[in-house]
Amino acid sequence: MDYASLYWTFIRINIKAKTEYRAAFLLTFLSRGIVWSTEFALIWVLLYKFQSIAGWGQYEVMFLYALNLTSYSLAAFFCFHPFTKLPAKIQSGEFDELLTKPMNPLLYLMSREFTASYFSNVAFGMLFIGICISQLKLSLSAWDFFFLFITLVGGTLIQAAAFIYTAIPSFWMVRNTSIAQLLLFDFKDFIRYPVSIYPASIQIVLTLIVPYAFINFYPAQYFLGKQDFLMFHPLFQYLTLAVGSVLFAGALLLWNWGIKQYHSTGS
Amino acid sequence: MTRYTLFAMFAMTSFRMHSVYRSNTVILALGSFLRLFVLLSVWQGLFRGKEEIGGITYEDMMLFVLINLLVGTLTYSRIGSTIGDRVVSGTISTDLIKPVSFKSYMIADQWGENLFRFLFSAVPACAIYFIFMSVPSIAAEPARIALFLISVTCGIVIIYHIHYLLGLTSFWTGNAYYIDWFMKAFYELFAGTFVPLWFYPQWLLQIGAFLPFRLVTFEPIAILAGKTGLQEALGILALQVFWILFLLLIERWVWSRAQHKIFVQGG
Repeated sequence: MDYASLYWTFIRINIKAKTEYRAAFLLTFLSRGIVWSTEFALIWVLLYKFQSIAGWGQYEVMFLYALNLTSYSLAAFFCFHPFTKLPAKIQSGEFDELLTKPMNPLLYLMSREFTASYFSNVAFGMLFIGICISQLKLSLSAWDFFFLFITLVGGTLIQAAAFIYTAIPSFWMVRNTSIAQLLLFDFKDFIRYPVSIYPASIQIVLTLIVPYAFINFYPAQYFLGKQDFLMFHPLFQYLTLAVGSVLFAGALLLWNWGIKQYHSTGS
Repeated sequence: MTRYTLFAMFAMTSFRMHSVYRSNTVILALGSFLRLFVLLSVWQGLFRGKEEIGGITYEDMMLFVLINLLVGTLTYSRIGSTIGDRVVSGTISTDLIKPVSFKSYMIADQWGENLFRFLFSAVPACAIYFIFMSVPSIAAEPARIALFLISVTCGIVIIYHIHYLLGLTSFWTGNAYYIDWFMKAFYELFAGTFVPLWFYPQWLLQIGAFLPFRLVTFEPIAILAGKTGLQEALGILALQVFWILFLLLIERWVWSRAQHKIFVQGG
């Protein structure tokens, strides 16, 4: 049987369900958009009097925000509900039922719980990238746009891997939502700003251990023509896709291993 | 039982309910500390090579960020979306028959939660910061501290009432999701909690001056930090009292109509 079409059907149903109520969809779209726009604008306000932080100007820091928002939202389409709700599913036993289905549990979760409302985030993220490119008067060639695409794909893989890694411990420990919260949201606060403002130890953590810096800090320098590579090699600006692929592959392996080890809570 | 003991009882119940997840508190505090660390790194980065900007020094900002974290947990409110959710689900009918006014119950519930966050998230985060980083000096005279305490109390009353009023709108709109998003956007932009209003461009400041949001935490902290003259501080207090009376008046009017609304719907 053609599984791909089945997964695609799940996604389509989700989109249809969300767009069925046009007014509600539009309201969500706009109210979320207002929040992203506010956050985006606040960076502008933050740097209004100071003009720059660690050599990064207003729109350059905003570009970091836009890259992070866009890649996060692309990952959240498929990952937000499946993985943030996984502990609850394991606790209630809903996850056991899912394992009995003749499908890959990961793909099933990702397509069945595809969240169409992230269209708003993605749209605003792209809009913000566009605003930054035009405000910074960057002249990008076709190749640059292709590389921007590659960077976003890599960033999305890093963000998706983060979702998966933080959900995996719940196979063994029921209720660990706050650890996930810490890694997914609080820790990611670091990359809202150029990583160069932090102490060296944090720069190393963000580059080598929890490599969030590859989502925006390193690749952004390619587009902005910057040379702010801390103690690392300038080659790092091209590595986002590689880092994302390795992390994501690792997440998949760990996920499969976790499922094999998994014992139901029995509820 | 008097109204006040009932209020305290509801607040304590909510406090205890949140204390159930005590194992999460270490992570909760760590999360707060991370956010604190990021924010202070940003201000350090912004002030690098600059003594002061418009009369504000890095020391001032340190005090601002720390007090903002402490006060921020107390002014936090999801009263609006709670009311909204209850209206949508219909559980509001049981809230209305409780032997305490609906508003007091809502505020008591929030107050318990905030006290928990204050004690187990904000205070430990500040403590970690004091131990491992540095302690900012508060050179404020007792009069300023007293004025700060009064105005911050007024600020809390103001923000709770704004949330409450917004929550009541769901009696008419029949849904709740816009309340949190709307508040987040406007509050962040005009309250001056993330970027203090000292650094705002003039035109944005003028819009914010007409809104009550800056009175919640920004103005009290400005009084404590000695950036507002004592004469002006009294003016701020008067303005806060004006807003409280104004909000109470609107609330009375809206509440009387909301009750009719719920009778029409049949609860």
